Amino acid sequence: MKKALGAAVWIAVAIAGATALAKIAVYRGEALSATWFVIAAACCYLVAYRLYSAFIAAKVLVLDDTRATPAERLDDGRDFVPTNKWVLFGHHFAAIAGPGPLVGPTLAAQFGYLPGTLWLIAGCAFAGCVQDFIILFCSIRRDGKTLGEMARDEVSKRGGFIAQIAVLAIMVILLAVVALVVVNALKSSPWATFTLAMTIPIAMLLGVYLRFLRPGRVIEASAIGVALVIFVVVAGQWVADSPAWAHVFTLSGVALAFAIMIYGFAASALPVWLLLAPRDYLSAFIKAGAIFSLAAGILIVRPDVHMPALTKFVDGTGPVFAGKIFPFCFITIACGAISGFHSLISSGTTPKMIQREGHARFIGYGAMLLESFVGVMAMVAACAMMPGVYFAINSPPAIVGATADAATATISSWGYPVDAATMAGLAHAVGEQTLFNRTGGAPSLAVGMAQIFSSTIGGEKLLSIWYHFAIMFEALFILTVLDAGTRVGRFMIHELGGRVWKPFGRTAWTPGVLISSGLIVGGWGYFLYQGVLDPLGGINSLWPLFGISNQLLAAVALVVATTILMKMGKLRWIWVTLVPMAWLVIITMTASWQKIFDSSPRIGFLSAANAMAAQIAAGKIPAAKLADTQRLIFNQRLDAVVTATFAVMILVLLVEAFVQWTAILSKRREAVLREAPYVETRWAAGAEGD
Amino acid sequence: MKTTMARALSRIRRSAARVWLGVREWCGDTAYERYLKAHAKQRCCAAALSREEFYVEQLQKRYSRVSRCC
Repeated sequence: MKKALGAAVWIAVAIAGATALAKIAVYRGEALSATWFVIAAACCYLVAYRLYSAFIAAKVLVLDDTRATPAERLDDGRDFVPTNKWVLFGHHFAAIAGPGPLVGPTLAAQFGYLPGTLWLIAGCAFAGCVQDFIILFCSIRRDGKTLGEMARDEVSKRGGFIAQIAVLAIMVILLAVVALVVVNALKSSPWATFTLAMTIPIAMLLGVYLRFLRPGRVIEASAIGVALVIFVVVAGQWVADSPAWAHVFTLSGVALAFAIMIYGFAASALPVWLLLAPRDYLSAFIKAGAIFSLAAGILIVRPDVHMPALTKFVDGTGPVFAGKIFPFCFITIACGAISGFHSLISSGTTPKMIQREGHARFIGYGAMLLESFVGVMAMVAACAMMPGVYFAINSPPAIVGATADAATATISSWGYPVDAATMAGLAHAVGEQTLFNRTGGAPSLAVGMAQIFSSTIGGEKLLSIWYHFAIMFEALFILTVLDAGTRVGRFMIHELGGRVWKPFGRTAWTPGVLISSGLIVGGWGYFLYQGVLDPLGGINSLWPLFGISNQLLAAVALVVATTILMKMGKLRWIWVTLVPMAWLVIITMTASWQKIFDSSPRIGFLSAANAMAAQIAAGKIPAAKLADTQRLIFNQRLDAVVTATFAVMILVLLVEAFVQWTAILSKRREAVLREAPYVETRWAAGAEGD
Repeated sequence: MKTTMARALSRIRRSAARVWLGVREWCGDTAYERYLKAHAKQRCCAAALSREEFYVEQLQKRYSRVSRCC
C-alpha cells in the first residue's frame, strides 16, 4: 500500500513537471507566469534525483555504506572531519554557488527564455550533477585526492599536468571576466561603488575581531558585518545625493579596473585572516539570504515573463554577445548546467568531510540541482522585465548607439519597443544616472531582482535600495571569488615555480609572495583591462572564452570519470559519463573554432583583427586612434591563441585517455584502480558519526 | 492537554537547538571543539593548538586551495 502510494506521488510529480515544461515550450501568448518555470524546474529536479541519481548510486558507482570514508578513517579534526550530511550539503553548495549561474542565464536570455531554461534543467540532470557526484565519489575512494592527482594516477602523468595547467589558465580567464562584470556594474555609479568600497574596511574590522577579540566566533562577527553592510547600502544614497562625495565615488571603467587589481593583489598578499576570510564569511551569509529571498520573492510575486520563448537573435546576431544558439547558448549558460570548476570542489574539501559514501548522492548530485535552480530563477528575473528594457541595459553602444534616442530607436526596430523616457524613469527609480549600455548581466539582474523584491516589500519607494542591495550582493559575491581565486592562483604559481627554483615554492617567502601575486594579478588584470577598452563591452569576447574554458575543465573531469568507470569494469554504464563528455567536447570544439575562425568580425577573433588591420591599411583610422586600434588587434589575436591553447589541451588529454582506454579494452594493460583499500566502518548503519 | 503542550514545546526546542547547532557547524563556530575532541582521541603527545592558532591554521589551509567556485 505504502509503495503504491509512493509510486502515485512520483507519477503525479512527473506529470506536473511534464505539463509545466510543455506549457513553457509551446506557449506563445504575451506573458507567461513564472510559476510554470518554478514547477517545471522543481518537478524535473525531483524526478532526476529520485530516478537518475538513484540509478547512478546503485548500478554505476555501487555506493557502499559499510565502507569507512576518509573522514572516518583519518579523522584529525583539522582536514578530515566527519560532518553531518545537511551541514556538508550547505558547505558544498556555498562553495559551488558563484556568480556564474546568475550571470550566464541572464546573458543567455537574449535567445529567449526557452533554450536557456531547457539546457539549465536537462544539462544539470544529465551532465552537471553527474560530474559533481561521480568526481566526489572518485575522490572519496582516493582519500580526498584532487582532480589533477586523479588525472595523473588514473589517466597518465601528462594528463595530470594538463589538468593542472588548464586549472591555472581557466583561473586567469575566470577572474578577468568576473572582475569585468563588477566593473560594468559599478561604472559611473557612486552609490554602488561606495557600498562595495565600504565592505573592505568592514571585512578588515571583522578580521581583527575574529583574530584577536573573539577568535573563530564566526556567527557573531558575521551578524555585526551584515548589519554594517545593510547600513552602508542605505548610506550609499546619501553619498550619491552629495555632489562632493558623488564625485569622489564616480569612477570610470579603467579606474575601477585598476582599483580591483590593487584589491586582488592586497587580498592575495595580506594575511588571509585580515581581509579574505572575513569577506568570505560576510559573502556567504548575504549570498544565502539573497538567494533564499529571490526564491521566496518569485513564489510570492509570481511575475509574468515578458521575453518571448525564442528571439530573432537565435541566428547569431544578438547584441549582448554574438554567436548562434548552438553552441553559444551552452557556452554562455555554463555553470548553471555544468561547471568544470565544481570538480575542483568535489575533489577538494567535501570528500574529506563526508560521513558515508551514500551521502555523496545527496551532496554531489543534490547541491548541483539547487545551483541549477538558482540559474532558473536568474533566467526568470531577467525575462520578467520588458525585452526592450533588457536589451537597452545589456547592449553595448557600438551595437545600439551611444545616445538614448539612438539606442531606443535601434532596439525598437528589432521589435522590442522601448523609449528613452521609460529608461530614464527606471534609472531614476533605481538611483542610477543611466541604465543604458550596462553590459555584463549584473545590472539587468539587479533590476529584475529589485522589481521582484519591491513588489513584495516596500513598493516603488524601496526600488533603489533593493537595486543597490542586489548590486552589492552580486559584487560582494564576485569579489569573494576574485580574492580567493587570486590567492589559489598564487599558490599554483608557487608550486609550478618551485619545480624550477626551490625557494620560489615557499608560500611564506615575501619576494615569492609578491612576485607570484603580481603574476596572477597581472594575468587576469591584462584581460580585464582589454575587456574594459573593448568597444563591444568586453563581455562579447571574454564571457565565451570563460564559458569555453569552464566547459573544457568539465570535459577533463568527465574524461577522468570515464577512465575510472572503465577501470571499475562498468563498461555497460560508461555512457553515463561518456555522452556528456562527448557533448562537451563537441560544444567546446565548435565554439573554439567559431571564436577563432568565423568570418564575422563580431564572432571570430581573427576576422575582427583582420578587419581592423584592413581599416588601418586603408587609412580609415585617424592617427590619434592608431595605437589603440593596434592594441585591439593584438588583443584579438591573443584571444585567438588562448582559445586555441584550450582546444589543444583538451585534444591532447583526449588522445592520452583514448590510448589508455584502448589498452585497457584490448587487455594490453591491466586496469589498475588507485583506490584506498576497503576498511569497514565502525559506525552502525543509520547512526551519524560524531 | 498540558503534557501534550509541554511535549510539543520540548520537541520544538530540540529541533531549534538542532538547527542552531547545524548553523554553527556550517559557519565553523564548532570547529575548535571538534578539533579538541579529535586531538584528545588521538592521545598524541603534542599540545593542542590554542583557539587562535587553530583558527589561523584552518584559514591558511582553506584559502590555499580552490574553496569558492564561479
